[in-house]
Amino acid sequence: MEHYIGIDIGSTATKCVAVDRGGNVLAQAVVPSGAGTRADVRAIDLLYGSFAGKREECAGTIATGYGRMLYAGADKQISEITCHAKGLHRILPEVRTIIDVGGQDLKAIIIDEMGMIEQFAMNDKCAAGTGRFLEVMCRVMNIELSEMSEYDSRAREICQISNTCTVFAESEVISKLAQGYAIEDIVAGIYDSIARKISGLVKRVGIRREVALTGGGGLNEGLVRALERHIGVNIQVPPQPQIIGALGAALLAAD
Amino acid sequence: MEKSEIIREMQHAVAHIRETVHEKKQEGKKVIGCAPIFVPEELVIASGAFPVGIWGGQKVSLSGSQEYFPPFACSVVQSITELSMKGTYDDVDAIMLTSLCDTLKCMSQTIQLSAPKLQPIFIKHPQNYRLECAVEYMVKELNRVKEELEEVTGNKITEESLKQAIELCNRDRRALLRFKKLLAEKPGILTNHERHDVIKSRLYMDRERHAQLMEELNEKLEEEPVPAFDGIRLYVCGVMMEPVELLDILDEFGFAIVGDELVQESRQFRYMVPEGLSQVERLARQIQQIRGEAFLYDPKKERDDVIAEECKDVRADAVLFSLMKFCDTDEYDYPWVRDAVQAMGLPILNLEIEQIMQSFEGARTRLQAYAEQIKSRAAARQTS
Ligand SMILES: Nc1ncnc2c1ncn2[C@@H]1O[C@H](COP(=O)(O)OP(=O)(O)O)[C@@H](O)[C@H]1O
Ligand SMILES: [Mg+2]
Repeated sequence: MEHYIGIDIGSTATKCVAVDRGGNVLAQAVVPSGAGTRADVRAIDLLYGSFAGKREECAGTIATGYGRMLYAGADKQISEITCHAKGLHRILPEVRTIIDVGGQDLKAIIIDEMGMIEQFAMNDKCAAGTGRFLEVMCRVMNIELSEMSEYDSRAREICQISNTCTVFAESEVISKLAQGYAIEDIVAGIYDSIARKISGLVKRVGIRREVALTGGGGLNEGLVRALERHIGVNIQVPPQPQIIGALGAALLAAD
Repeated sequence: MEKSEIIREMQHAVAHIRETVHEKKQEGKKVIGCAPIFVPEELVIASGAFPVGIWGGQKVSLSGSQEYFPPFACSVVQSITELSMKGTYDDVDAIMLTSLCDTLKCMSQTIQLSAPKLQPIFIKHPQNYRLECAVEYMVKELNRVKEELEEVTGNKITEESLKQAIELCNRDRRALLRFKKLLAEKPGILTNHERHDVIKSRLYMDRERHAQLMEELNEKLEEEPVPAFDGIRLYVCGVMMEPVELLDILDEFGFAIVGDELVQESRQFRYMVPEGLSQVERLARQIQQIRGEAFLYDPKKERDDVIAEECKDVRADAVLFSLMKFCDTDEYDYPWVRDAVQAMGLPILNLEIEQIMQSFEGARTRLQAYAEQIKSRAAARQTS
């Protein structure tokens, strides 16, 4: 079956999406980017193992994400910013402000009613406000990323984490644990801390409704709640926020 | 000379600064460092010395400079400090310093510790530089600088030698302005990297030679046909476009710089030295004409007007504000510039850079996305 592929080689996870000519999703795959065997190769293998398409039926591939220049199988490379805008506009066309919280970067993108980018901003080389911040804190608290939102929902109050710097915030969390604060409240504090940093960036481009959260950060309901508090508007999350960039790349390949 | 030969000679000058300084010393000449932002190079040339730009270094790793500056100080000043500690300026006889921003102000003191052998020559610009009394003040200030230079070089600066130096520098400025205009008329005729080297080389070669090469280059460019160009006409704001990898990325994504107001580039030569009663007074009057300069007192905030006018003149499609990290002067101005540019219907990208940056992936993503943003809008306009 003829299909198009988008591959988003992020700093933390590699995402692949296959779509048909009409842009309907046929298959998708997510693998960690980490060291060892090449994530791009693994992701593509996984993708072809999960639908009826054959490699020779692929009519176009676009690579995006941090590693977009390294992927040999692409016909073209397009920036994540364009791909996130494209993918999200397809799923949630009423959204004007897109916040992408990835593993190591953070982006705010303003698009118009056609899905065209008007403005964007990206964080500097600092892990504050990114998924990496969450990963580091989970390690310290000895809980899984996927459990964080659960803890957050049980929090009774937000335990303030004052440091934005990931390294300092890490020792702050350790000392809060030692002081006997509940993990639930600390988790709420962590989400609050990164939401503060994210809202700072989003306010730089100006918030235009509707607002959506994409990237792996969107998998955190606790983060969505904290962001809504800081930004003051309702935030939409697409059903699979992490693959939006790859979906956008696939749609651009099919265009 | 061929166009490529001219450019190669200029690129050689930019890439071999220490060698040039060494040669000048061997010839028995004195060498005077010219630090940012506005220093009277005419006085240096009139004294028979060689003026050499002191604009830090690209991708320098900082260690010693942290003894004098916190990590949130501008990387240009930090890299100058680092290089001064490493002995890079050992062949330089004296350095002209200004205090036109807070970090430069600090460096005017720290450089005496970081490079004790380097003789400083200070130039303090007047605050209310548009007033007539500022000229009177600046004449006194420049006469003091003149005396200090005479002492360092052992040569007298005469009215005649200064007049010649002013004429030479003005000639070079005119050629540079013509060059800029040609590039706006024929985008794509040179790469952005080449444009930068041509402009920057004036700081690192004999001015006479530079002026001569500029004039020849302009002739060649004038003869050449307008190249086919379907890229983006870009206007650039900020302190500088270094490291040059940034320029290569612009080239890669189809941007052509058609105008700039970079401190290291156009702001060095966009105002001629005017006429006046004495040669020193002419120099004193030069800054008086400057309009909308971020590093001079600009109570009416005219910088954004100047940028808007220039964008219109060069028919820019887009603006890049290359914000030197921690440059609060530019950070203050950015919102004004953004609003003025957007009011003209042009997109603007605020790209944070550092002269010492070593990784370009973040900048590449932003610039690629910016190019995609502009091109898809243009395509949508065409189909509608
Ligand atoms: N199950 C999960 N629950 C919560 N967050 C998750 C989960 N899986 C991944 N994440 C978050 O997603 C981030 C990676 O997001 P992603 O958009 O794939 O990043 P990138 O594109 O930079 O590789 C991780 O750093 C982590 O914080
Ligand atoms: Mg990503």
